[in-house]
Amino acid sequence: MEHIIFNPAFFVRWLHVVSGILWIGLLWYFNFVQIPTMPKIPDEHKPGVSKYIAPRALLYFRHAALGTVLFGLILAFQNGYLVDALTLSIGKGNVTYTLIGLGMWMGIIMAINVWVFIWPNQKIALGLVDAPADSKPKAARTAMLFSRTNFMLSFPMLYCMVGAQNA
Amino acid sequence: MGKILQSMELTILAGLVLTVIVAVVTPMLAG
Repeated sequence: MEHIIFNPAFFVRWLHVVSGILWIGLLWYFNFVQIPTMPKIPDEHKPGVSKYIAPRALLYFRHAALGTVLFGLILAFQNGYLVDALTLSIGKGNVTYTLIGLGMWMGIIMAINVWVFIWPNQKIALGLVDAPADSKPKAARTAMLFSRTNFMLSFPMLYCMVGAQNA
Repeated sequence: MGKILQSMELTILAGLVLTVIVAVVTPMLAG
C-alpha cells in the first residue's frame, strides 16, 4: 500500500482523475441542468444563476480543464508513452496507446474550447466584462455551441480514457 | 451540426455515435 501512496506517478494520476471529475462534472452540470433550465427560470430569478452560480462554476470549470490536461500530459510523460500516445501509435499494434492518444487529443481540444471559446464568450454573456448589450446573445450562443461540442466529445473521450486502462 | 448541438438529446446521441465510431476505428488504427 505504501508504494502506491508515495509513488509520484500514482499521485499525478490521482490529481488527473480528481481534476477530470471536477471538469467533466461541471460540463455535465452545465449541459444536463443549467442550459436546459435557464429559459424556464422567471426573469427576476435569472441573476441568481448568471451573477452567482455560473461565475463560480466557470471558475472551477476552466481551471479544472487546465489541471486535467496538464496532469494528464505529466502522467503520460512519467509513464513514458507521451509521444506514442500523441502520435496515436498508428500501425504499431498497441491499442492502449491508440486509445489513450485519441482520448488525450479529444481532451486537449476540449480544454482549448474552454479557454479560447467558452470562457471569453461567457464573460461577455454574463456581463463580467464591458461589452455592447447587443453582443450578449451572440456570445451566449457561441459559448453554448462550444459547450455542447465538449459535451458531445466527453462521451468518446471517457470511453478512450477508461478503455485504455482496461485494453 | 449547429441544429444537433442545440438539442441536448441529439448531442448525447451524437456523442454515443462518435463513441461507437471510436470503438470500431481504434483497433484498425492500432493495426
